[in-house]
Amino acid sequence: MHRLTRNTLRLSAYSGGTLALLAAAALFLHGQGVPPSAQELDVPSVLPPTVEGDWVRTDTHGSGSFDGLTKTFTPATLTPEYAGRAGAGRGGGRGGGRGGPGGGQQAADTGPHKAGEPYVVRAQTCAYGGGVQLGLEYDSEGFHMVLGKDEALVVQERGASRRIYLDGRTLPDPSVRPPTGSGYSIGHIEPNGALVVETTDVTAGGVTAGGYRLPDTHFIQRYIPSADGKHLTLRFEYNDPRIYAKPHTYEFTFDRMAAGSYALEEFCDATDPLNGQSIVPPEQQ
Amino acid sequence: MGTPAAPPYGLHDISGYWELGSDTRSVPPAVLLPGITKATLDKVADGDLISMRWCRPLGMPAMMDNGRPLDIQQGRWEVLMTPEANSSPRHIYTNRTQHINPDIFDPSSVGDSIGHWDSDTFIVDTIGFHPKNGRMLIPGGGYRTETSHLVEQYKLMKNGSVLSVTFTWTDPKVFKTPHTYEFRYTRVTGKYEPRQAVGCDPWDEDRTAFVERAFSPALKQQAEAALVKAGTPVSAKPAAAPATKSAAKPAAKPAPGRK
Repeated sequence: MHRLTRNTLRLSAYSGGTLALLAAAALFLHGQGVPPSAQELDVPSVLPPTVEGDWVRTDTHGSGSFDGLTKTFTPATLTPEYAGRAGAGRGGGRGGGRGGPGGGQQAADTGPHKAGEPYVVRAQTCAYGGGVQLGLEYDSEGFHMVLGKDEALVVQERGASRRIYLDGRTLPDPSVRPPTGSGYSIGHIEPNGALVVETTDVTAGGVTAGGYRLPDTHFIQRYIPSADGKHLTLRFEYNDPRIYAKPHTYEFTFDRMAAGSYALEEFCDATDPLNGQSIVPPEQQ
Repeated sequence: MGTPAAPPYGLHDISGYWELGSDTRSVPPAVLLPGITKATLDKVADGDLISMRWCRPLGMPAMMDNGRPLDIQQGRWEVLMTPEANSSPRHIYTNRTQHINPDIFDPSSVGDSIGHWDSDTFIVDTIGFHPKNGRMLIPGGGYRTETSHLVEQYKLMKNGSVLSVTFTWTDPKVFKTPHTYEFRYTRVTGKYEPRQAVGCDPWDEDRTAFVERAFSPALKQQAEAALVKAGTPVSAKPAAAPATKSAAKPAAKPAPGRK
C-alpha cells in the first residue's frame, strides 16, 4: 500500500533543497499527516506562550526560489573592511548535521534538466566531520525544542542537536575551544515566554542577507512565541561593530506542528542513491 | 538522629547528562528462538559492521551505550534524549498514551516511544522500529526487527546520582522469553558541556582501509557492494558483483516512506 507520509514529501526534496517546495509540502502534510488519535493527545487547545514544542517553517514568502525568502530581508550594511567578505544570501549556520555542509563532493551536474528527470546533486553524502551540531537557522525540516531544567535542547530530524544553557553560566572565552557550527549559547526565558539567546564561538562565515560573522562575534537570537502559543518568531540580531556599520536583523516565522505530529527521522545512509539525488519535478500539465 | 538530608534531585528528575562506567552493565544472555542460529546472528553482526563502515546512524539500542554521556532533558510534552554520537535523538512522548497509528508512522531506528511515570519509575514503551536502519544487535544476544517491542524502566538511585535503566525486549521473531538487562548510569555533575562527536566520513579512504582491515574478504566485498551510486534509479540493482556478493543486503531499497 502506498503511504503518503510527511517523509514521502520531505525526503524527496532534501537533496534538491527546494525550500519553497518544502514549505508547500509542510503546509500540505499538516493537513494530511495527523493520525486519527490526535484527539486523544493531552495537548491543551489554548497553549501558554512557550517556545517549547515542535515547530515548522510554513511561511511562503518567496516561494519558488531558493533564496526567495532571504531576498525579502534588508541587506546587511557592512564596514568597508568586511564588505568584500560577506557572502550573498545564505549562511548563518543553516542546516548542519550529517548531510550538511562538508558532506562530500558536489557533483558537477548543474545543467538544465527536464521535468521528471532526476540528477545527481551530491555524489558523496552523509559525511559529517565531527559535526552533529545543529545549525542556527532551521530549514524547512521541523525542529523540536525541550526546555529542560538547565538547558534548552533543540534538535532537528537528521540527528544534530544544539544546547542553550539556562543555568546562569556566562559565555566562555572563545579561545578555549574551537568554533563550531552552532557555537556556544546561553539564554534566559522572559516573562512573555520568549527565549533570548546569546551566542558566540560559531565558525566564521556568511550570515543571511549579506552579513558576516567571526568566531568571537556575539549575537542575539530571540525566540518569541505568539500569545496563543501557535506561532514562533525567530529574530537574529548582529551588531559586531567590526563588521556591521549598523545593526543587522532579520527574522523567520514558524508554526507549531499540529497535534499528533511526531518527529521524523532522516536516516542518512551514504549507500542510498536517493540521498544524493535531486527532487523529481512532475511533468507540468 | 536528625532529619535525613533532602535528596539533591527530585524522584522524577532525570534531566541531565548520564554516563556508563566499565562495571555498570548487567547483561545476561538472551534466550533466543530455536531458529535463531549462529549463522543468523553472524549475518546481523556483519550488517552492523557494514553500517559502521558507512557511518550510518546508531539508533536503538546502540545509542544508549555509545561511550559518551547521554543528554536527557525532560520537557512539558516529551523527554528528549541525545547522545554525543551519530544517531537520531529519541523523542519519548509523555503527552499521549497510545502509539502513532502504524499506518501513518514511518518506522525509524529509534522507534515510536511513549512514556509515563508510575510512582518513582519512568516507564517507556517503544515500537515502530525500522527493519534495517541502525545497529541491530541487542546486548546479551539477539537483534531488533520491525516487530520488536522494548519496555524500559528508568529509576533514580542513590539520591539521584545514579539512573537505573532496565531494558526488556520482546519479539516473536527473535526471543523465546523476554530479554531483560540493566544499565546503571552515573549523573555527570557540574556544568558539563557536550563535545563535538568524533566525525565519521564514509568517503575517507584511509579510514575505510583501517575499518575494513578486520573484515573477512567476503564481508569487505559485501560492505563495498552496499554502495549504490547517487543517481542510480532505485529500481535498479547494484552493479554486477561476484557470486560472493549476492548475500549483500539490498541497501538501495528505499525506506517505506520513500516508495
